[in-house]
Amino acid sequence: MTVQKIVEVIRGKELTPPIQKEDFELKYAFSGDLMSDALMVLREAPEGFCEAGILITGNVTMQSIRTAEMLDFAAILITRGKVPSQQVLEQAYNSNIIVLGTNDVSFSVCGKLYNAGIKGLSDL
Amino acid sequence: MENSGKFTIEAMDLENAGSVSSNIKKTLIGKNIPKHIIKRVSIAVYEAEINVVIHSYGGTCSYFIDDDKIRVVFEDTGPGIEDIEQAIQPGFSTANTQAIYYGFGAGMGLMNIKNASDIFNLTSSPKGTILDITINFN
Repeated sequence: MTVQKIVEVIRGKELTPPIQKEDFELKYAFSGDLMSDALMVLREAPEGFCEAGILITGNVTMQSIRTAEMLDFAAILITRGKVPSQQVLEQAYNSNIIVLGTNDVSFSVCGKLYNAGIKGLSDL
Repeated sequence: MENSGKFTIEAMDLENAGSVSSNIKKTLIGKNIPKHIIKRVSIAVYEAEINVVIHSYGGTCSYFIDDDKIRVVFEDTGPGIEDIEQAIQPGFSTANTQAIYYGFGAGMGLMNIKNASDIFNLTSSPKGTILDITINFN
């Protein structure tokens, strides 16, 4: 699913300037506010999961970006209408990570994306 | 690209935590090492860097890259880990609220580092902790 389609599904917006990735589609997602959990669970994720994946989180700190960077996530989706600082957004952009935002809570946005065809680790 | 390096890690500097890991990851990307290995190294080094930031008085990270492996050594100046066996247990955590705010403190860090590493050595006293890990490239 393209970034534009994801934005439409979640009724959200892209918080970082568009990052050009040729023929790029997002296919997977992982949701959590604890970065330690993401690092533990996704250490052995199938190759390509994070590279075509969205980290859905309410964590807007610099460490959500760092976690996404270490795991090779393509995008982060910030829920509950939280707004990351400019510094956080710049770090994401410099790490080639797309940041999306929505006012929805994580549970609702996960449901919408799952219905639209985005898969989780348990589905693979 | 450098085959070794040393960085300083400041205590409780959660805004900059991860910069050492990011640096080492970029170095490995420049060396044509398999992506899944780079991810394992990145996760182990990042978790260890976070541990130094949130649990110690500050310390250093040194890395040494060979043709077939990377060794990374974290040394801090205390206060040490009281019971290493207990600290490694999944779910055991002594993280403070600031660390939790940044998304850490689930008590999974040391176990994650251990599982990601091919060699894992952890020694500690009140004067400081030394974590010495090696990850093979194949």
